[in-house]
Amino acid sequence: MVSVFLFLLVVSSGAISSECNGQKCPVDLQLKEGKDEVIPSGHFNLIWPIDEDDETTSEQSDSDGDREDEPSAIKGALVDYEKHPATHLKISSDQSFSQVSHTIKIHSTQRAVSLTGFSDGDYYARLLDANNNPVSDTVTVTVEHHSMFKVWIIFISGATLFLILIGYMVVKVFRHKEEV
Amino acid sequence: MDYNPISITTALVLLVVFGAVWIFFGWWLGRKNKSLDDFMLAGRNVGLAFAGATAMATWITSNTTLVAPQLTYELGIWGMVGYSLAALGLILFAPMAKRIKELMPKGYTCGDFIRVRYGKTAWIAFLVVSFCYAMGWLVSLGMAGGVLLDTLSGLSYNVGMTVILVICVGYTLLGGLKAVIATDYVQTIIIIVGVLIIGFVCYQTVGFDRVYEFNKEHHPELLNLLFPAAMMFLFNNIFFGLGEIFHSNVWWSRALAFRPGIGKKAYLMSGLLWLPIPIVTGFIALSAPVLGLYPDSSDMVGPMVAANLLGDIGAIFVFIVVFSALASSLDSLLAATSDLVTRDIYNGLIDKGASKEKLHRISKLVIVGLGFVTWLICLPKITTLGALLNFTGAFVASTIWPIVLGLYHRRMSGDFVTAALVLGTISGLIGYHTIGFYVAALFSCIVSFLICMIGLLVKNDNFDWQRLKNMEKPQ
Amino acid sequence: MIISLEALETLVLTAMAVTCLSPVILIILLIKDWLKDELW
Repeated sequence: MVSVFLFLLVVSSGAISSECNGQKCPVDLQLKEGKDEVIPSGHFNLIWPIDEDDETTSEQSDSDGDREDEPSAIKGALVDYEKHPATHLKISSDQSFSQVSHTIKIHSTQRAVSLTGFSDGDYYARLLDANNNPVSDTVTVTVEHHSMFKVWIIFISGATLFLILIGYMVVKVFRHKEEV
Repeated sequence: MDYNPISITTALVLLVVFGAVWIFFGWWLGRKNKSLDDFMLAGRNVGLAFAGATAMATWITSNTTLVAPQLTYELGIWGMVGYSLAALGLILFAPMAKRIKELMPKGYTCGDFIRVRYGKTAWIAFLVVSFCYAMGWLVSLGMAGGVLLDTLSGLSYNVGMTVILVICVGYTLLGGLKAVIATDYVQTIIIIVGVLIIGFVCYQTVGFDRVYEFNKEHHPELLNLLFPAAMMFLFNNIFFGLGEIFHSNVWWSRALAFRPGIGKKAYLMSGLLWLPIPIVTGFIALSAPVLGLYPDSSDMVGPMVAANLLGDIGAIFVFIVVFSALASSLDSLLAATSDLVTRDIYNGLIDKGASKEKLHRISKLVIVGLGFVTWLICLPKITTLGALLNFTGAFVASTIWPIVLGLYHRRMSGDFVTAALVLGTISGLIGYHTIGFYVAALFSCIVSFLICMIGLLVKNDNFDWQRLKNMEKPQ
Repeated sequence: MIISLEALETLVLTAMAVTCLSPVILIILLIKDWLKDELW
C-alpha cells in the first residue's frame, strides 16, 4: 500500500529530478510570483511551502524542537513550526552553479525568502543541506526591468502633476486669506 | 542567534503588560468624557504638544517601521527617499487643517464636508472610497501585528493579530479620541527613541562603507538612482500619501479636534519632524544583506535587522517600538472610522433624528463592530502589507483634487467630483493590475485631475461657504 | 548610475540628526502646554 502511495506521489509531482540523487527532492522550491514570471523590479520571493502529504512526519520531528524553555502544551497551541533539511540557498547566474553570486543561510523552520536588488538577467537558485547536497530543484528567475522609455513617461507625468499641485498649493492654499 | 529572538513566554508577558497599561490609560483618560464631542473630538480643544505628537504618531504607524524598510529593501534609495516624501501629505495638509476648522466649526467628519459641499451622490462615492481605504489600512495594521509577533517570537499569526486588535479596541472604546491622542504622544516618544537607537547601533556596528560596498556588488539596483521600478514609484508614493491624508477622517477629525489656531502649526511641525524618520528606518533595511539577513517576507526586514543587531534584549525593544507604532495608528483609525460610520452612515442615512446620547452609544458599538470585521478579514492573511496598502492607493489618490478644490473653489461642482472619484479609482486599479503597484495612485490622480479641470471649465457651482458653517442636515 | 557613498552617508546622518531633535521638541512643547494648562 505504502509503495503504491509513494509511487502515485512521485508520478503526480511530475518528472523525477536528477538533482537530488535521482530521487524526488524533499523540498519543493518555487518562485512565489509564479513559474516563468518575468520580474520587472529586481525583487522576488522564493518559497518552499510545507508539503501537505508529509504533515504527520514533520509534526513528529517537531516535537524534539530546540526550545526547551517553552512548556510543550503552549508551544503546540501557539507556535508555527515545521522543519526542513535545507541550510542554505545558492544563487548563480549560470545553470551549473560554477559561479555562485549569493549564498544565503536558511533556518530550519524558514519557509520563504525575499530577495532584492537584482539587475537584468537569468538567475538560478536552489536549496542545499549542511553537506552541500541539493535538496530542491533549481528554480530559474528572469529579471527584466521596465524599459526606461516607459519609466520616463511615468516619471515625467508624475513630476508634472506634482508641480501643478505644489504650484496651486503655494499660490492659493498657503496664501489664502479668510473672507469674513 | 535563534531564528525567533524572543521566547513565546516573554512575548505573552509583554502583550499582557502592554495591553493592561494602554487599557488602563484609556479608562483613566476617558473617565471624564461626558458628551459626544468629548468622545469623538476630545472636547475640540487639543493643545500643540498633543496635536503635533498625535499627527506624527498616526503617520508613523506600521508604515514607517515596517513598510519604509520594506520599500527600501525592495526599491533601494528611491524607495527610502520616496517614502519619506510622504511627509508632504502632512505639510500640505497644514493650511487645509486651518481652513477646515474655520469653514466647519461644528462639523464632525470629512463626510460632513463632502455631503454639504458636493451633494449626496458625490458623498456616497466618497464614502465608498474612504471605507475601502480605511478597511485596507485597518487590515494591514492587524496583519502587521500578527506577522510581527510571528517573526520575533514564533507566536502564531492568529494569536498576535487577535491580541493587538483587542487591546486597541479596548482603550479606544474606554477613552475615545482623548485616549487615542494621549497614547499617541507616549507612543511617538517610544518610537522615535527606539528608531534612533537601532539606527545608531546599525551605523556603529555595520558602518556605511560595508553596507555600500556589499550592496554595490550583490544588490546593485538598490543603490541605482535610475532603478526603473523605483522611479515609477517615487511620485506614486507622494500622491498616495497626499490622498491618504487629504481625504481621511483620521486627519479631518484631528483638524476639528485641535484648538483654533493650532492645526496649521501642528501639522507643519509633525510633517517636518516625520520627514527624516523613514530614511533612518530605511537605512536599517539597506544593511540587511551585509548582515546575511534575508527576511521571509520583505515587510519583516526592519524588525529582523534590529533584532539581530541588538540581540535578545533588543528584540524585546523592537517589539515594543513596532507594537507602539501599530497601536498608535490602529486606535486613530478605529476612532476616525467609527465617527464616519456613526455620523455619515447611521446618522446620515439610517436614523436622521438620533440624539447625541444615542450617537455616543452607537459610536462605541461601531468601534467593536469594526474591530470584529477587521479581525475576520485578517484571518486568511492574503497578501503582504505593502501590496495591500498600495492597492488602496488607487482609491485615495482620486480624492486629492476634489478635496483641495472643494475647500478653496466655489466653482467646483459635485457631478464632476463624483466622476473624478469613480473614474480615477478605476484607472488606478487598471494601472495596478497591468503595470504594478507603483503606478496605481499616479494613474488615479492624473485621471481625477483631468476630470476636475474639465469640471471647473464647464460648470460653475457657485457654492455658498455659509452652508458649511451651519452644517446642514441631509435631506 | 549609482549613488555615491558620500551622498548616502550625508543623507542618512542628516536624517538621524533631525530625528534626534523631535523628542526634545515634543517634550518641551508638552511641558509648555502643561504649565499653561492648555493640554486639552
